Amino acid sequence: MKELAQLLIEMRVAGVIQDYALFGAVAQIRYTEPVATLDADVLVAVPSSKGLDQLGEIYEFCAQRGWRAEGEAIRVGAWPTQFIPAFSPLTREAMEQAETADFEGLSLRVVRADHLAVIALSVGRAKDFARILSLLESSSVDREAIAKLAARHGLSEAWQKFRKKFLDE
Amino acid sequence: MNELQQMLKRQAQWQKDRACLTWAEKIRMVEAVQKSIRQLRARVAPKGPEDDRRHEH
Repeated sequence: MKELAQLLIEMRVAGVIQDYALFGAVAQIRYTEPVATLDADVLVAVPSSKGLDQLGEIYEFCAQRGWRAEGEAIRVGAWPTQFIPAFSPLTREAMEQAETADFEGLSLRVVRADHLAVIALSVGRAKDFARILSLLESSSVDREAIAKLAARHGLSEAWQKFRKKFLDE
Repeated sequence: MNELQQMLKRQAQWQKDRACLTWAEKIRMVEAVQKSIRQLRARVAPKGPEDDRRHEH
């Protein structure tokens, strides 16, 4: 993970990305018990001049440092890492309002727990629902915060369904 | 509460306590099990069409 932290710092300095934030399981682990995961997911904002090929320069930058593509990801140290452009208002807000965490002396931007929960709600797989429950159980986010954020991003119905199904309401 | 229930309660608490570790410590725990998960996945995943055909016979 230290290699990834270093890479993201270098990418930002070099202007390959404007901003980034870790999300997915790696971000979840900041707030909950550790969960087994193989991949790291990173939301990125690239300069607007990149046009459609938003990830090309990221792949090139990684390759120059010896980090090779592996399927849909780039293997950075132990972590196959997926770079995902922050394409929607929800992911863009999550990235912009991410917190800066310390990782062994390096700064890493990590999506906040409420954004993490609502992104999971928007994706809607079983493991995403498990993530929401885990975040709630760890008290890193509460139901009201999720409801409010979900409403702002047009996910109120999904949240109601989740509550009914998993929170017995 | 019987002994088994107490054991399960202690085990659940022990797991929950891990949430209080630092993020870096938790990431290191995940990195430690990644190798085993990959090996397990490689062992159970079909290797390709030839491998599939072999299983059909």
